Amino acid sequence: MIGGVFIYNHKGEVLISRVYRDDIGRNAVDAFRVNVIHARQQSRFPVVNIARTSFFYTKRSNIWLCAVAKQNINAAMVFEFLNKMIDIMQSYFGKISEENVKNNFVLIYELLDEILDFGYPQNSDTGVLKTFITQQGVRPITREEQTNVTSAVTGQIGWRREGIKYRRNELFLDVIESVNLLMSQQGQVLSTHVAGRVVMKSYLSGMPECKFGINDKITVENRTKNQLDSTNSTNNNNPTNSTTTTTTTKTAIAIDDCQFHQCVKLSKFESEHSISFIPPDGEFELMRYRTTKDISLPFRVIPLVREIGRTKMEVKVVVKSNFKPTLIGQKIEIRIPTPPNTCDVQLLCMKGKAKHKSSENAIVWKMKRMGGMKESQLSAEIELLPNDKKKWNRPPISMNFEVPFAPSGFKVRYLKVFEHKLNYSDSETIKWVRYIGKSGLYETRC
Amino acid sequence: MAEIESKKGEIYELKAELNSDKRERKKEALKKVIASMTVGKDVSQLFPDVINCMQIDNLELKKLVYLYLMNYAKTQPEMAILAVNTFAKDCNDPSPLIRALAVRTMGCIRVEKITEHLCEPLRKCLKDEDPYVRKTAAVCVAKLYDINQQLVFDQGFLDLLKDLLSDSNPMVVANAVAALSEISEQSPQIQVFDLNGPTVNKLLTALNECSEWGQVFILDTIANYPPKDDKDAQSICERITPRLAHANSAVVLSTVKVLMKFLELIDPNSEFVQNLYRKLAPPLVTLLSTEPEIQYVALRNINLIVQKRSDILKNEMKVFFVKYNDPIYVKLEKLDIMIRLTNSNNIAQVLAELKEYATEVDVDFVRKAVRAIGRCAIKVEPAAERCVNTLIDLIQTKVNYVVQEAIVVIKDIFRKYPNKYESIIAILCENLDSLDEPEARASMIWIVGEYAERIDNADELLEGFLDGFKDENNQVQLQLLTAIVKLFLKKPTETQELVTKVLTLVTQETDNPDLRDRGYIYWRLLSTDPKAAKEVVLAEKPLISEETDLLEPTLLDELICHIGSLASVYHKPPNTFVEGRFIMKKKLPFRTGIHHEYEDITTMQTNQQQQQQQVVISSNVGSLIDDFDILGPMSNTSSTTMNTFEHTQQQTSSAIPNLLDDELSSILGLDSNVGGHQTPMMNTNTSLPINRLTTSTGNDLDDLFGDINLHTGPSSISFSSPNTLVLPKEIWVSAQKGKGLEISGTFARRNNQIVMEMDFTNKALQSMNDFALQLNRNSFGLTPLQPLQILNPLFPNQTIPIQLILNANGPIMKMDPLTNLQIAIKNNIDIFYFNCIVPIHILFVHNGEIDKMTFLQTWQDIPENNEIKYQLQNINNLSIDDLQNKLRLNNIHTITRTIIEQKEMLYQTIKLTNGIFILIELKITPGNRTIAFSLKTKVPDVANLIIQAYELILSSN
Repeated sequence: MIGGVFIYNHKGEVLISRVYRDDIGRNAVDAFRVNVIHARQQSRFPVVNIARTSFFYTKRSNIWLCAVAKQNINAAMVFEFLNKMIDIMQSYFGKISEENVKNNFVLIYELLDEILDFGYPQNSDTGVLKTFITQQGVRPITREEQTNVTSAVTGQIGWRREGIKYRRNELFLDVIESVNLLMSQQGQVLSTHVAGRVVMKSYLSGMPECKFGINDKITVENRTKNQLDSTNSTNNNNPTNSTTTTTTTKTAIAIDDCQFHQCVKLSKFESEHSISFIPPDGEFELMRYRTTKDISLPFRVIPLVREIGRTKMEVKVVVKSNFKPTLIGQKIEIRIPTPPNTCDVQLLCMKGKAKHKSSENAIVWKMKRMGGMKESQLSAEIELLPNDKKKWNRPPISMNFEVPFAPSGFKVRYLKVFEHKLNYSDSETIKWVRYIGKSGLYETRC
Repeated sequence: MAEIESKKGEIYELKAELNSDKRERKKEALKKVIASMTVGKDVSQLFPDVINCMQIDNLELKKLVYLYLMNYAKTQPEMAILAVNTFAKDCNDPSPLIRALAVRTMGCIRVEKITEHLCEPLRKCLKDEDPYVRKTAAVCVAKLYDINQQLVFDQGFLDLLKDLLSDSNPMVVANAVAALSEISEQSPQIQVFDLNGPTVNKLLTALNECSEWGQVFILDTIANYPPKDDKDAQSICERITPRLAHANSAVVLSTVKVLMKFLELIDPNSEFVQNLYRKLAPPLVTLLSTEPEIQYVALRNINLIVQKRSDILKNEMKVFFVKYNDPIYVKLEKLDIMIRLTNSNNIAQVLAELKEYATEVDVDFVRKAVRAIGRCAIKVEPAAERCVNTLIDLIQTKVNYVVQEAIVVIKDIFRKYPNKYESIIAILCENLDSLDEPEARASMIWIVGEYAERIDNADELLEGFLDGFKDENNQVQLQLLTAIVKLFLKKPTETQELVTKVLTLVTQETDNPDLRDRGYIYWRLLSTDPKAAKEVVLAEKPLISEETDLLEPTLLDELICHIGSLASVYHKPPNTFVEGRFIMKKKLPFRTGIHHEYEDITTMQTNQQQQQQQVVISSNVGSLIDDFDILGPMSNTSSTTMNTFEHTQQQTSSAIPNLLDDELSSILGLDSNVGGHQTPMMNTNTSLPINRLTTSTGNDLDDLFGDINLHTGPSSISFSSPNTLVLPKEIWVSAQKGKGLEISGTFARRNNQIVMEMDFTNKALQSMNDFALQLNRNSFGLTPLQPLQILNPLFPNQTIPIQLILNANGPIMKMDPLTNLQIAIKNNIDIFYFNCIVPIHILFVHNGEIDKMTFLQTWQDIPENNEIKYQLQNINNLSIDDLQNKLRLNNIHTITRTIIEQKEMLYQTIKLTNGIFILIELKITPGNRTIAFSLKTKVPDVANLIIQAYELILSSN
């Protein structure tokens, strides 16, 4: 199992060093610094073996996080754990920075003591950890509370404590999709997929059992007479957002794969294809899914690059929005790479603002918003310094955006809440649903 | 000076603050102490002051003190005892958080005296009412085991731990499983943990309810459970399949591991397996949208899965397309998997992608992409032309390393499709000047030599290379020599001058014996028999393999058992990178003939025996690898980028010798000088036996010099005949299994020595070197007298005979069958393991004769029920004298011969290498071919083998 966890700043100074196993010596801390952080050649692998000790590492801003082991341990688990640890730290004190780590080192040690025992990851749910590891430290806990804590840490529902009360029972569902696209120069879709997340914020009393329905092909086909549910879900749509109107023609979508938060009863999903769970309190990611079929691509980028001689290039980029005219896309940004030997760029765009950023070797074209079924164009004349060095390989044009619908066609059909002990019913719970489509890696080769 | 003083001052200040009355000041001081400790400053002097702070009833403070204690207790054991009372008190604290904290910390203090005091509190905590305390105590047992194993046994903690497997709380179960697994991994000789059906059932129930990490512990443990039969395996598979939808990738990969392992037991044609394949693909693909580090782990594992069961991901090629922003380690891995999944259906897409990658920036990645295009051409014949065109386009970019890489792969394409793409040679020739890497230069020279008749200015081109001959790399020099000789054979009239020049150069002005000898051989060949020279130098070339970089099957199987773990990331068995007294080998379950109900019990038994044998083999595998590592990194001429990583792996691992049991290392000791031997100077002046040269089929890429190996092996064997019966050589390792190396062999007894006679044939493309051989322990203690010595590389299409003298005083292990011998052969490509049978008559020693009286005495001493009778057939109708002679040659001694009741009675003895005597009585009725055979020995196990030996000898000519 994990023999130790180290945190370094960008210079390689140790900020946190917690050793769990006797086989990890003090020299391990230095070995990593010398062989990875200070290495002349950047290490090309996230796991390195130095003198029969394996180092797993990841970097967040300027901070190195490293787990060490001498045994043949579960590598996937170590990286999952490091990521989890980052999440926990972020939720306790915000950004992972040298300053924050230094200021909170006592807290970090306390957390490390709790979430790893002899190198075995233990309960690492932030919500539960926060009930008994507090920055204030001296929170007096009554006996009763203590047993609540321990039962939460070890309990079957390790992610939720008992006795939560809200005056208003409310829940928010965010369906956040990132659309990934790789398109060839000729406009042929090379690969595309949607990575979706359903993020839930729950403010519900007691131990509510929730049932979640989506327009997944299999479940929809299984559905026989639950017509009522679909009307229910439309009522719950967020009134401030115009998502209700985006009812696409297709009713059900094919989900390639989905994964759930640990609160979801997986065996029930396998057997009945129903998603039921007792949610943690507050915000959490309920589910992740992936689709590859019938994705409506919100934008299309059509590039035209002409190299005129050795010192001049002409670039023309057309962007077309491909969704309902009533909807509006936001935060649109198109990045057109330019060669490193660019000396001057003349830009002309119909809409938004475009700028050549020589430090990033790219033209950045921004548009605050763009309606559906519109088209916009940018043309650029690029002057180049004569350069004998190797040919410039054109990196792809990338794009960022946000649209108020789910490009995969994903729909929430219902979310029902049952709490048997407390006196509130499903219909009293206030529910909000919002759909956001974002760009993932949205690239067009040019 | 000032610095030391300020340091002293700092410590002094901290001391004062720690002893302050104010809690806040104490706390601040403690924090400073911990901060100093973190950066490696020595603050151990403050030990007593820190211990004093323990008394205070404040959880946060307490945790800081404990942190300090864990770090320094070892250096100050005497002082640490002071903490024991506080721990004992805390273990009885009403708060479960404090109780758990105490038990958790105590286990981390590795001071023997403290450990003694740990037992009572631990026992109590294992039965604590609060699950939080119990789950902490469970892990504490593992900690204690790490410090003092005996104590854990003596105090009965193992049983308490096993009880926790039935705990109502899933987290307690998970931690208990983790602790038990760790203990049983540390002490595989003791059955710590009986992983049986009911236990697994309990674990499967807990699986549904425990935390994500707990699920990983449980799944990793279930992976070690051997299912009873296919139904058992199937039902476990069904119960864990829902885990594939878990958000934690470790849970997903551990589930995949169990499924991949148990799939071995299930009928591959069943619907269940097909369904499972469908369910496996999506979660594996989803792993590619996680953080890059996890993607890397996933990709390394997918690489294994694709090699083992290529069907699972056959339709998922697109997801492995490289993204512009992927980290380099993800890119390289994706590319590797892409090549494996390429087939004629998706080749168009793949090729378009590869072409795109070849224009990227990272040199390693681009090279790999170019090489991949070449591999595609060789793998998918219909697409070869497109691939070649793509390569030509790339050559036209004139990017130096792209051009060189392309030329290297084009050479292989020419090999695969001769006389098809020669039109492009002109384009290749344009780039001659830009080639600066030996491999590319050598490849280009090969191409020119191979197609000399179609290149008008081939002589000019080769002459150009000849100018800087002395500065060239050895590989290029050899290639150039061969190419010019080829050219001469094809166009003798114009190039006589050139060939003389090169031959003079290599024979007179070079220090390299390989080069010089090859020069002499060519010279002699050309001057004595040009026709033979043509046959040798321009011989037809063997085929080249389609797949490259495949893992050796037994290694692959072992790695499949380690999915998700470091071994699967390194693609190396754990004992190559883990220190350990003893590491259990894992192996895939073996599918017995469950579906054939008519199979009787005996076949089941043999299956089991086979399984046991496999264990034996595999327990040696790792040691071999390790030992070879010590010899230094294996040289691999065509090492790709990934190899640099592997090399560092080897180097790091070779630093520490492996600690295995003595018997093994004594076997291994024999190999210790394989890497370091010197090539003896050869007599290269004149008298090379010419007729010998024709034994080689000849080869273009490499030299003929290797033939001289005929003389160089362990050459002290003299051949005296007549001799014992020698069976014809049979193929022990096929070229397919041996990655191009074919080994055939037999055993013989020459001059009263056991000789293993083998032919090594290289049917691969590249030359092989760094050979080593090792025998596993066996029933007769056979070990090589001296290590295998193959001084020169084995070139493609070359065969060398090897004779290895064995002696019989090595370590002994009973094999089944008794005469089974397990052999490991290593070369620069891989390690191969195989079994063969030593014919028992090879083990009959010459001095096995005893006098009449002793014979009689012994015969009577051996109890009657040890007598084995058999009817032998005198197939060749040998006369009794002939028969006696024939047996005599094989060290079966006739003691006496009499006639009783008109029947000839022969009394014979055999002595085996290990000193066992076997007494035989033959009763021969004249005119009847059936011989009544009866045998007595103290070791009846060998009886059947002896009968076989008799039959063999009698039937031989």
